[in-house]
Amino acid sequence: MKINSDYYKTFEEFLAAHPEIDAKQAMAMAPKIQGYEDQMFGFIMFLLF
Amino acid sequence: MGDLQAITKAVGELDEPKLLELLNEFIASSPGKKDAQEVVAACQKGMALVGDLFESGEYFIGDLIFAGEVLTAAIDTIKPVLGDDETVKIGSMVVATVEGDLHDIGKNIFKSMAEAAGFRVYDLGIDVPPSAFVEKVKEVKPQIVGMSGVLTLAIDSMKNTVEALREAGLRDSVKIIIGGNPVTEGVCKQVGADTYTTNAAEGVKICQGWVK
Amino acid sequence: MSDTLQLTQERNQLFYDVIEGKIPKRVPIAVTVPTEFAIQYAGEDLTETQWNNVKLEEIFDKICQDFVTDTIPVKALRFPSWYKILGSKNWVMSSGGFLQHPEVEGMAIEEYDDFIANPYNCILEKILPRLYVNLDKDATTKAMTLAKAFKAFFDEVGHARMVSAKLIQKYGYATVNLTAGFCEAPFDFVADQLRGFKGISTDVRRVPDKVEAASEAALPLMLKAGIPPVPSKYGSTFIPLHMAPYLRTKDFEKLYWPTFKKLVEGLAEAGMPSFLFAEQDWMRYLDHLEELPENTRIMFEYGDPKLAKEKIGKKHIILGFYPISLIKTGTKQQCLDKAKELIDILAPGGKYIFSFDKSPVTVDSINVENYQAVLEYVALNANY
Repeated sequence: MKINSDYYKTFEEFLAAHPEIDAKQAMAMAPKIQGYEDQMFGFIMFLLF
Repeated sequence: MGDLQAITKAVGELDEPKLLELLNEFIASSPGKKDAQEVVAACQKGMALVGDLFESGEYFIGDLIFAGEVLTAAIDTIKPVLGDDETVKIGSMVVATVEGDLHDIGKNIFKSMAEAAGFRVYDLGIDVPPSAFVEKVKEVKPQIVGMSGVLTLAIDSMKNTVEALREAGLRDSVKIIIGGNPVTEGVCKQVGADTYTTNAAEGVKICQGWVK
Repeated sequence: MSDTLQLTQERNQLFYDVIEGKIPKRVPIAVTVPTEFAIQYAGEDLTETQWNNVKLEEIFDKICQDFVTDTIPVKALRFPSWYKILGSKNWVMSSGGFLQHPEVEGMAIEEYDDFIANPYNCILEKILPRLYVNLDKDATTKAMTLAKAFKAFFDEVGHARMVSAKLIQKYGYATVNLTAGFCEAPFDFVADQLRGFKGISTDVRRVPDKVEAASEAALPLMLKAGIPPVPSKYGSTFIPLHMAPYLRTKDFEKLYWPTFKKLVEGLAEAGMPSFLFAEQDWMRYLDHLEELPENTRIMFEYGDPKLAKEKIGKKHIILGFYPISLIKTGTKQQCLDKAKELIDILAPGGKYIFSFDKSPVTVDSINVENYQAVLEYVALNANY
């Protein structure tokens, strides 16, 4: 789920900012990169619960 | 001269815009200090209405909190006329959330209603050890001590505080009221307080009865 | 099949049946104590053990040994490490070693518009540095602090999860996770750490439009926070409900309910039922609760169990109502009688899971024998 913010990037946005990453690398890293972004979101929100 | 009845009504109805309108009209009429004190009394009457509406189930805790803010705003508005003279105080009390407990919303509601009723309230804050209660009571010699707590561990702290007051020879010079979720008649006896309440409006009424 | 695997299957079946609207073999028991209780119960030091998690497993194990439940009977939520690293003002260790949440105001009334325009930006730029003072520093220090705090969070939560998984296997507890997700009603989110109890109570009167807009802005964040990586209809997202009982009904209907309902519906659409903790007294709002998606789990603190069963007991799964205070003040017989009374009211027709009205924080807030006796009683005397 995408959050509209300067401080949350989907993997697509991450890729767009990194044109040097090729398709094979992208596929390998996608779950982790997106996962870390979402884990960080979860942590930030938990600080306010 | 302010429209005292309308002021009381506005406070009772928590109609802040109306109240501030009335108070600004009052200020514009170049009133004296005595007039201002009558307006304060009218506000306090309105707060008593709020307490009644809470007890009858029409108002809720959020409304009590808002009422406290409305009263503060009202007093701030007429402060220029009120001057430095204090309004007459009917008594004084030391209140705090006891040691180990950091919750204070109930205590703050009680405090603002007690102040509205004319008490001078010394608020020691949260997580307050028995020694701090003893020091303050020695210093300001209040009629009443109020202890608040939400967690069950507060009960032991309340007991320790009453003990500390007794050891300092101060127990008989004050009335003690306890408040908070876990307080019951049984807890009141266990702690050695004079009374207990889980309802700020009721608690203030009891305190008013004590200082009559 | 091993004994404990068999136990897990049997216990899971109880929950599956309740959730699928069938009559289970008996009323399942979902009751937990927090970390602090477990530490005290094991006779260990509160401060030391919350910082040094080496003994956590043996401490949690003692709870599992002594208290009969169908899901794991101990739940860890917060540890002081990341709060201390961040310089938390909203989660503070009291003099007694208990993490508590004092009244704070993370967001000034003037900042409503910023929050409404972009809540996550506002949270990171303005709100967090106010509530966590060690984030109110230069960019470099801030980055280092956040990294350390996240590491602490990841380590502690990971360790607690590992301990729980081990104990679930060891004792054959059900694997259904009532707290697979966690979030708050949007209004409560704006209230709890942002505006504070006092702030929101005045905002509701002075700037209700902003409160409404802020709740709408918070909704997507709550939805995202509340959906776990693997949704399951047998699990649930835990939502502790705070402010509603303190509001007038008309304020509740305009400002609290709409976004809360959207949250529960949104979670359900994503495959996650909600587990609501209806703190204080929600009897005023039973008709509203009836509107929520079917099979919402609702744990009630205070109120009338008969009324709740009558109004929402066919659609939703009920928990709670058992006053934990009775466990401290009552005789053993009074405690058992109360359990029977509630089972007789809430169990017929299914859709009932036994729990107390809240978790005990400290060991001295209950009588341990009564607590054990009630759990045993329910385990043996709530057969359908």
